Amino acid sequence: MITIHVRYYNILAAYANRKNQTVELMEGSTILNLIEAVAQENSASFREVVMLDNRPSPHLRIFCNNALVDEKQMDSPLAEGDEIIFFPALSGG
Amino acid sequence: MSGFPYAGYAGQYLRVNLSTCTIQKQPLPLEWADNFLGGNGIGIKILWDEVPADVNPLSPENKLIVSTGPLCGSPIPNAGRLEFIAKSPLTGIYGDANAGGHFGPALKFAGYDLIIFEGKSPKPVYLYIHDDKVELRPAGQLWGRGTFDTEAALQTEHRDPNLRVACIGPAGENLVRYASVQVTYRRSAARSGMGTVMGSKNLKAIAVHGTGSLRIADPQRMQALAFKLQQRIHDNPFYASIHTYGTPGLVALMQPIGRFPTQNFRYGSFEGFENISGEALRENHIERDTACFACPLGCDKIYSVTEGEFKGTLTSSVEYETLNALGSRVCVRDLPAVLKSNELCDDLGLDTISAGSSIAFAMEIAEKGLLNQEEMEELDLSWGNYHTVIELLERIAYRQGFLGDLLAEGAARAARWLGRGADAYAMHVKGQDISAQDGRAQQSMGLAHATSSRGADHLKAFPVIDETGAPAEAIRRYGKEYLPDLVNPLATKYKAFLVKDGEDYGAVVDSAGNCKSGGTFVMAEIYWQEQAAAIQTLTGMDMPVERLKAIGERIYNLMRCYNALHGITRADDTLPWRFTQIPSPSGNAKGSVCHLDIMLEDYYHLRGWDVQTGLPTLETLSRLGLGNAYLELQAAIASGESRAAYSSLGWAAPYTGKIKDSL
Amino acid sequence: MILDIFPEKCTGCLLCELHCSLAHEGCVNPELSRIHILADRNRRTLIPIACIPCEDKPCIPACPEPGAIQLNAQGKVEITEGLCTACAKCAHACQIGAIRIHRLPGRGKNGKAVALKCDQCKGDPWCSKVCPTAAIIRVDDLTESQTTFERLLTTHHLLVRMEK
Repeated sequence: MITIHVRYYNILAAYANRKNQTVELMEGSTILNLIEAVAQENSASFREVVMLDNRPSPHLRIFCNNALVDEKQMDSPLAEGDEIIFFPALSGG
Repeated sequence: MSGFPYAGYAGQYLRVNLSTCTIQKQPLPLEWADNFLGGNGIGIKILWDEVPADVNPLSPENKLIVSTGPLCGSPIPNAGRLEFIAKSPLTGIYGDANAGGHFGPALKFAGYDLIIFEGKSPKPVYLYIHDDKVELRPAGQLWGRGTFDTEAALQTEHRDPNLRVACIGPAGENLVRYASVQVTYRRSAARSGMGTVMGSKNLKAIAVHGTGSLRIADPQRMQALAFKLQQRIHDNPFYASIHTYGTPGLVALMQPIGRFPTQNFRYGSFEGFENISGEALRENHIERDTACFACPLGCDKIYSVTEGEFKGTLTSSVEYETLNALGSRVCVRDLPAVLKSNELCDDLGLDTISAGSSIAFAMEIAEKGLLNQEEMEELDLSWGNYHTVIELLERIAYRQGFLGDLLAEGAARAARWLGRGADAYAMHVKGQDISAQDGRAQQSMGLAHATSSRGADHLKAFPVIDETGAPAEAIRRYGKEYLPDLVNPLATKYKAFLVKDGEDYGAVVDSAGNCKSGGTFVMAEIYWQEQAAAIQTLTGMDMPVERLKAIGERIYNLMRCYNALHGITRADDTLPWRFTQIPSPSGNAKGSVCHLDIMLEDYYHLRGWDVQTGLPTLETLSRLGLGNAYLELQAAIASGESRAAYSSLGWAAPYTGKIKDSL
Repeated sequence: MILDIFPEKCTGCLLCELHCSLAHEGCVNPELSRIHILADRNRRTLIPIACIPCEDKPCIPACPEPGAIQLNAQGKVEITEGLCTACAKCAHACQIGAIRIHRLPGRGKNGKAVALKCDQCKGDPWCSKVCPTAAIIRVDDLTESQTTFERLLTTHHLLVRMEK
């Protein structure tokens, strides 16, 4: 098992009713697996932001150890202690 | 005016001569609407025609244009904005500032598209407008008062709680170069020193009550369109975050990107960010959500501080930029202190971005030992000292003491005045202080700052789809052609295209009167096609998308010509060394620098500007109907007039001493 | 059908006023809206005011002109413009200020002025459609009308007291 630390911000934190979550996953789990896991464990509103048609929403923004994760990297395996941040659709200046 | 062929426009404007105290009502020239639309489009046209290169921005010969656009006053989403345009006392070139709130529509309902202020009043005055009645009234009793007090006093004097006011505070009166104009309800037309121009004219305020109607060409169709656009904004995935947290929500997002300037732009993320985030604001200080005129997003909030040192602070319009400028740029992590600073800036009438940047500059030069004991005047200029920040804001507004007077000039001029190698630490482009975007973390923002027509600024081009990558948004606007590079924050390819498109569309939005923070840029529910349709159904103007694009391009090119008239060339389309030479230490941007030169080459090609000089070619200007502007510009360059303007009026002019001496 | 109003949700965007005036007058003019947003100086209090209608309906007996203001088939209080002399007695009788007098050439019995009030847009109120925060919603259960009215009355008095 590997331990992943997830941080939520903005409306995701509001819908999850928490700012962070520690998730235990099988070795070799991917970012996609992580998203599916937290989607299951949090509220319906949270799920609606994070998933779209049973896939991770294209509007979800994910950082892994402070690096932006793009679509192609969804199937990359996670490592023990990885720090993940989730943002909803958010932009501006 | 019933004679004007397009609906939406009042069809008339005011020309107010403050020297002779005369007010003229004049019909709006059709050509202004047809070719420049409104807002800062008409503003640059007037500057080009009426404010020559040799005019000092603080002299009576400068003109201040206060301009709405054809959509302003309508229920098209966020159509309540207006522009203030003048030659800028901060940069010596084209200047403008945009504000939301509820002031712009009042001017339109009163029956005026825009106001041109010329000359200088011998004594402080304010302009009072109640529909047909337009008068200059003495403002002696208001002079010296903060903007909150001024608005309240005017509403009381006229027994009109709905009186909409645009006014300056002590900062504008004391000619702080980045003084703002505050408009009901506490929104700021902050950049470029438009408040300074008002102060230089002894113009304290503009107070408006309008009871007239906005005529619509096709009322039913326009109403249906406005409603449809509003629904689409509501259903857009970006709606929830913008409505709930406003721009402060960006504080958290910018950390991992590395785009949150910290310690005078040295770093791109701030350790203390959680304390000054949108989430912290909402959790600890929020009273309610509020909205600008006709805005379904309601991103503004009223915040209060109910305990501690800053108890009693009541403020709104707390934006991402301010949380950065008066927070991380000066390393302050105390949120009540940042709220107090914001309240102070609004009351004194200061641009929070330039104020924060100037103070950050002071802190850095103090750190580098470039200030002596006497000059520091017993202030502790160490990073994060928010008492110093608050003290300095007051001193700047009143030009008190050595530092107050120095920093009131803005970081660029302050560095020039001081010498001692201080300009290495003045983060600006063309004299305007850089806003909260680190160009190393998002290449397009670097280019945007370098090419913005009013000096460093993110809003002219406002590239947002490559902040964190928004492929869905990119496809909607441009198709798949430019992916994946277009949405990669660190890629340089296609960024010139993104910036040029943003600048042209931005010029249209600023000229029409709607908002960039809502449905037009962040979520493009109102993009070229919808904007054209909105203008057409509202005004009756024939507005195919191609015509609208030409208007945007024309406006931006004329702004460039005006800047070139004042000596601006490619050499000024720069970024500080911190962005182009020092690799970012932070987040996703770690190790990256801003590759400005590559993007700049692309940009000039796309614009149809000469790659050597960075100036518009005859071919480009003729295509846009600005052939005469080309000839006038070339003549000014050949005669040395442009060079003279650059050497005497711009931020880079040799420093002659105190501001009053330079008038 | 009545309007249910929640002042604490109002953001002061004025979209209700803009659409109301557009739908009724064919142009945009917040002054001519049948719904008005009252606000204190800093917008810490915002109250949308429109005819709910209330239970008592004191506007009807206050009117001296036969037929100028009456209950229509949908249970809404409606003004017939052509019979209205703009004497303002209904406006004064209304406890929340939901009726306003407007000097408008060609309008009203005397062709000079008329009283205007919410007519629920013939069944599909624009204000409730466009309100982005559901501060105004339409409710088909008429038994709720007094609750709404009392809620408005309380906040309205609060505002009036604050302005003094």
